Amino acid sequence: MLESSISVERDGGEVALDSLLSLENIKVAFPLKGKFPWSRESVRAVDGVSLRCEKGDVLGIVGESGCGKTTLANVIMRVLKPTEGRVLFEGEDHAKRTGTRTKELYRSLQMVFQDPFTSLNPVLSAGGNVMEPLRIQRVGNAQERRDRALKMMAEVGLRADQFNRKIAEFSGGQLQRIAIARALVLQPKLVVLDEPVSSLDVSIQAQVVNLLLRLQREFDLTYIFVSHDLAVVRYICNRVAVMYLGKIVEVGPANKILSQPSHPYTRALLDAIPIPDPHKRRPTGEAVLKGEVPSPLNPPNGCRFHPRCPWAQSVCATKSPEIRGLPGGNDHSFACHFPLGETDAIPDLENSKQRNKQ
Amino acid sequence: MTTTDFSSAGANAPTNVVLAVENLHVEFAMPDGTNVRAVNGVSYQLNSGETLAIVGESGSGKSVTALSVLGLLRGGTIKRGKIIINGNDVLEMDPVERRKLLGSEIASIFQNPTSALNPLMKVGDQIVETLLVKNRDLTKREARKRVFSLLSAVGVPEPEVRANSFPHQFSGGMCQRVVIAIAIANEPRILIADEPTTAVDVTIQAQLLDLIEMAKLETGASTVLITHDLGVVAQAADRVAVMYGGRIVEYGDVFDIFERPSHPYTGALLGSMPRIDEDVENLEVIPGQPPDMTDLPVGCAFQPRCAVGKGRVLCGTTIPDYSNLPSGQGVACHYPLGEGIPPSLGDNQNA
Amino acid sequence: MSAIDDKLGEISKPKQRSRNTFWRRFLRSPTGLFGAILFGMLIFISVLSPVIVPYSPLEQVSPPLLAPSTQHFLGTDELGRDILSRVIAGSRLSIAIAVGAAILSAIIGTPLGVVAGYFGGVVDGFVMRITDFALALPGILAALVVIVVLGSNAVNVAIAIAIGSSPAFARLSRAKTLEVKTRAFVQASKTMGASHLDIMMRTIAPNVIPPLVVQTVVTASMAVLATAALSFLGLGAPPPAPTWGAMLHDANSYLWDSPIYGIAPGLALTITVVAFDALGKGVSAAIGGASDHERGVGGHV
Repeated sequence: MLESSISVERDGGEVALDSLLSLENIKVAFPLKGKFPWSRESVRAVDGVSLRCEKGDVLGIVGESGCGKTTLANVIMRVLKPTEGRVLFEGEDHAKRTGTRTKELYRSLQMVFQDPFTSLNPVLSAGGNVMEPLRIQRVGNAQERRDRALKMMAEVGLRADQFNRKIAEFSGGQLQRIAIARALVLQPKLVVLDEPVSSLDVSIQAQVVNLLLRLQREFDLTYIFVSHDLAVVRYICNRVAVMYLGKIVEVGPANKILSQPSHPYTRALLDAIPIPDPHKRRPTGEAVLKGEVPSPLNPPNGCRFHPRCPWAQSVCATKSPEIRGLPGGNDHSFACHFPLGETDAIPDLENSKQRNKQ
Repeated sequence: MTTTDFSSAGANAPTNVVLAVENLHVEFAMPDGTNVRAVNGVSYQLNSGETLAIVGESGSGKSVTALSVLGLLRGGTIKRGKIIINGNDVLEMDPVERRKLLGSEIASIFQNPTSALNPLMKVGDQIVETLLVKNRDLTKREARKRVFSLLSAVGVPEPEVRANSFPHQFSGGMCQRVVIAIAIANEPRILIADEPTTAVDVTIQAQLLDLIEMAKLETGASTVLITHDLGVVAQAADRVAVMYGGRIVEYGDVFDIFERPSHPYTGALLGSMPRIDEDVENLEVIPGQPPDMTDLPVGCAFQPRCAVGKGRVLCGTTIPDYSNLPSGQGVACHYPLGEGIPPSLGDNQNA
Repeated sequence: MSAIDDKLGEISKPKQRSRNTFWRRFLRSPTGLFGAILFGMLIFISVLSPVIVPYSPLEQVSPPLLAPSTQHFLGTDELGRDILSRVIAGSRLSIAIAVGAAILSAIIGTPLGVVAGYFGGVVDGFVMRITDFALALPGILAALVVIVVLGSNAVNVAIAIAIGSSPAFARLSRAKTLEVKTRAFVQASKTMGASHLDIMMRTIAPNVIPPLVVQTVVTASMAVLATAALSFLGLGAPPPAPTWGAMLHDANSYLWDSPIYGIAPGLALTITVVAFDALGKGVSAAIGGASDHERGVGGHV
């Protein structure tokens, strides 16, 4: 089953009803107030993303700042409306949900935010925060809500006596547990996690990551895990999508992509990560990706990555590569004219042309 | 806490100690009356030409030690200790002398590049400002030349144009390059980098770490690199000091520390990190929370979370002294790893 | 905030926060303590006024314009009523009207500000223009109109003052709403399916309250004076109600004969205003550093 391709028209065509979540050619453009009222400059934060997430997946969305991953998360959560494209959750189009159907969406779709210090309501206690979704969705009576919240807090490793404590009294790791309990108390099907461990201490990250894994198995959850930390993604995700400047450049099985990437950007990203082993040091000055991410206001022509790509050819500057899979399937797709081979070979510009002829 | 002797730590006896911190104690008085004991007896030495990484999580005290050395501690008091630069105890110096010394010998790079630069001054002017500290007779032409060469050395494209830009016109990574340019402008002997790459993307981080390394090689500066990222430590450091609860718990050569960690905290930290270069079956979890610095436990600060020390009387009552192991590493632990004592519930249950 | 401040802020962020931080800060503020004590005394006096007045404030009990004596601590007014009793009785009116006006203006102004800040755009513009209009009207004039329309009594005085003070609340709550609505927990409420009304009332409003408490106390302080001013002009509670303003008005004619007649209500006014102000300072200090979790070092007001 291949990922849906950007180039395939989907009007009236097959709709992926079996996927839990399906993003079809999502584009999000933020208009900028130009100097003149008629100037229609906009920042294309997400520029044509199609993605599918199946039940039981832990799908990682990775990329550096400005790649659009948080914007995409907001589109998935329906707090941001895409400029183009549609989001199908359990077969239903986000845009077509109105009234009560909108509210019902959040019984099955929940989010955990990056900063636990600001994602919980400081006026409510820990238990109060965990009960909020139940109150808003009018689930049960006061006692039932309390019981459910207590149970959920126990699941995430918090004690009953912490139920009434104020948010200000907890540490970052504990707060994130409260946030996770809050997200799961409605027993959703899909949970979007936006950098859930990035702001936590390293010694606490493992606690929360393992907790998330256990909860996923126990409650049969599906996760979308947005992160910039590829090591955590490799540990927890079974699938990963790599984003660059608003587009997906590679998507597929996490273990494969994060060890043998096809796209040069993924390769560069992996190479840049400092490995906690001094024997595996990257020699100074060697093979480090040069330059910076271009401004999303003015993305490069052709392949967006070509100005920084060590393997770029002339066609890369003019023609934007379509996302395509490897022959042989296995659900691994990428958008590159000259994808990397199966080995970690140094760029060989002669062979790269031959590679493409396959 | 006795002063510690590091002369045997590391493979070779250090030839030239550029910076020595001895038994530093720093406290902060909070507005609500509590006392944060941020640093509790920290000693380390920076040898000429080396990069010393100080690793720790938030609250470990790693930044406070650096700020103390730089004389930038606001709201905190140095209760005890010495900071020796070029053979002089900085804390005993006349303030004017101290400022001169710090300004010319030590440079710093902090985490947030945009707040480190003056938003109202052109970038070139800020570099000139630094240059004038050391050489007040710099002519305009000389200054301009230096600015351009510094900017191009740190990899800022079109330095002649960019020197006239303001910080807000730069990206975070570019700002940090400017900060590095300012830092190396006067060819300092000591460079203190406090989480210099935490706020930037990983590809920019790789570039900046390279840059700092190159700057170090060219100016001959010795670097104190403060970070929470063990990957950065492995990449950049010659020697490592691991901090926990305001104290150094392990100290030694970077290869030794990663291959044979002696302190349970270091070992647990390494085991709890997911890896990009290999598949990890199960992450080791360190239970509990980092210590409350206003209310440190009586004995070893790590004991509540320590698989080795939990339940052991000694760990609960006595702060471990620092000792040098035969391998050359230094560790502050009653039962260091690899010394043949298996992690267990302990001989005597702690009440 | 400089890079150093960022770092220092991180370092000294205490993990455990006492639940009593508010009270602890309040108790450390000498002005606040002073204000609280004074305010407490005033409340005590005003609540118990019917019981503690030596004489009835409305009845003639002695010859007029007597000098202060052991029987009439502050003497008598031109109708032979005990001035002390009238001052004490007047405290009830003044404080009740002031507090009432302050609370009423909070009730009127806060929702307007929250709605304006939350929705932004056209709604914001509309609400802000209304408040601009209210601010542009000269206070006394506006109060005059209200009282002429509604009638001259204590409640209407409170209403008139409330209308005039609510723009400040609207402004303040709008500013705080703009700040609060960017925080993740507001977005979290949206992703729980909360309606706009629910978010404004249950999520945003409670977080907007701290600076409003200070504003309420400050408004009460101003309202005391405003009430006196209106009563002085004859627009307040009608005679024979012993309002301090009316007393000042009446005392005006007898300044040489019985100076204490004018000094007494004036002093009472001053003390009351000082009490509210000091209380406000204390509350402000107590709230200043305690509310935001993000704050590290600092919070000394």
